[in-house]
Amino acid sequence: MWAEELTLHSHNGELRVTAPRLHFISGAALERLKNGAAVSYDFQLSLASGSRGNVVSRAIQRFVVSYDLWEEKYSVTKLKPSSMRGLEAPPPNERRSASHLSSEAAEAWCVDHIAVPLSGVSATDPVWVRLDIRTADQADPPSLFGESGVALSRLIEIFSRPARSDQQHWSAETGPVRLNEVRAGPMQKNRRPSPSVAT
Amino acid sequence: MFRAAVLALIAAPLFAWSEDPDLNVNSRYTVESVRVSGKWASRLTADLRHDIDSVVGQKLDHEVLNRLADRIRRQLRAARVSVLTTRGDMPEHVKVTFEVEGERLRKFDIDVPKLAYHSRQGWSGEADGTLSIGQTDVAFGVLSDGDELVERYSGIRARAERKAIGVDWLRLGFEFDSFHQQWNPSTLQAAGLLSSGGALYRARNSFKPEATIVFGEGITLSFGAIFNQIDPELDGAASAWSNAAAASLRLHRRWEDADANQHELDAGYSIRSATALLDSDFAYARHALKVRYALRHDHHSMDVAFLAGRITGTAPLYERFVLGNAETLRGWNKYDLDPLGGDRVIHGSIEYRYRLFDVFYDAGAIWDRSADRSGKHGIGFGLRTDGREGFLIAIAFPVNAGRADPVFIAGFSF
Repeated sequence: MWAEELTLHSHNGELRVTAPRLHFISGAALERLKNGAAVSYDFQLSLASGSRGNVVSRAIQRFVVSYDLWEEKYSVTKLKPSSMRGLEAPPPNERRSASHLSSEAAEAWCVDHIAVPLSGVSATDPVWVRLDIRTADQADPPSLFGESGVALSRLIEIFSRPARSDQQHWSAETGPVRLNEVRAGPMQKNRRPSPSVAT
Repeated sequence: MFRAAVLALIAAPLFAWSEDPDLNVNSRYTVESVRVSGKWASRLTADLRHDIDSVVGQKLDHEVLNRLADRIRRQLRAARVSVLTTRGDMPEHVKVTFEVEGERLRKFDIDVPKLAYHSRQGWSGEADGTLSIGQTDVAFGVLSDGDELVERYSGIRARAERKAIGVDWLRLGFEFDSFHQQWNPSTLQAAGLLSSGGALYRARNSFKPEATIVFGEGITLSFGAIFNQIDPELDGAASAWSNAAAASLRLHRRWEDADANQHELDAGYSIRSATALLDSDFAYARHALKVRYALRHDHHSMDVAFLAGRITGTAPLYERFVLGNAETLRGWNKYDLDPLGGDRVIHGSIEYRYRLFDVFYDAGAIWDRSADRSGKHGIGFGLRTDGREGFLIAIAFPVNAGRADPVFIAGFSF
């Protein structure tokens, strides 16, 4: 595990990050991808305020990456919430998958598609932002993928315990910063080679 | 920190992420070929080899491949089997290789194929050790079983099986059993009342040479002989021999339909025929038909089982049919139904399971050709893991028995 820099962006009451030096398509996961398997990554983006340990907002998301054996390009799918009961529903036109990506573009696409809400967080308090990524436990999918999808409770449980020695994990952190110093506006899209995207 | 944890806890049951059916971009490609690395393919059963070959021509499905890898790993007792996929020779096709880590293949394995408790019949269990030497498996086991037959038999079982004899569709096996018997008081009394105390024995040794032809498509034919040396219960009486020719035909199919329902069919017919031609002191023919069908969808599963059997002539007690144990007519005690077993049997069972919760209904009759048939019913419920062979803990009740005296059953593979 190592720390990398995060760049923060706020837009529409949400905080997003970029982590251009964080490369999680690597090692054993990359080997599995090159063998034609899909690899699931669990992301957690957390925001702490006041002190580094006081997490006030977090988002947890799963992305599935696969490598096209013939086209030698990556494809990424964001698993969308299937039962939200009114909380944090995604926009209907939110992009859910992208294909024909380089490994860097696939990594960036995943990081671009996770955001934490800023409601209730003071713009003048110091905040710390941390991004944790883990390859999904290969033993997890059967229990995680029930009839209705991936249970957030299981993902929270996964991030509440340390990564196993054979589980790849990465993290990047930045802070303290004040939200009023964070660059506002949507993140710039297509700064990397254009992927084809599906909605 | 506390606030975030509370938020997460509140939110947890409200969220779930749905999975796109085609998460792997390679699932659009067709499997061109499939192979198992090294020389291990020859050690797999014909059933598994057939299932492996059946992915050729299908769209790539890693879930299916991972299940096959797990079956290969278990069958070879390998430490790890990986699925490797590469480009095929034809466009839009891929080649699949199951990579077996051969260096860590285990040569010796200990298994407990059966463990059962029946509140009227006590414990039954078997533990085996299997040594694999090339294409040959040699197994040695100790067991005590008061569930399967009229008798409780305890002793040792030794088995050797050659999985391929030049051709992979033929297997040869040999089994030796040496058992000592214990009889239930009900059986002793019934044997005495029927003046057939001479039918009881205190020990028996079995020699079973057998050949199996694998036809593919899950069909196997086994044939051979069973030589049983029987030591009578009566002191001073000479040993008797029950020597029979044996054959069995078995069909095993497993498939999945378009609605993701998983089906499994297991059917078998067996015949054992003892005649003076084989120098047997007993002359009989024993026919048995067993069919089991299982349907699974998500967390629901249903199992239907059927058994019919018939014995002509006079067979030793260990050949006679039994109902009222941990598998059949649950809720009944076999010694109450027929303490000497029967030479006619018919039985049906239906079992439904949702996740771990299991309910079942059994119906059947056991009788002798000279007696009237009387049908019995049993119902029960409990918890079961992993299909019909999973661990079951249940309470079963006899229906219309004139008593509400439940039977407690626990165990697996009975």
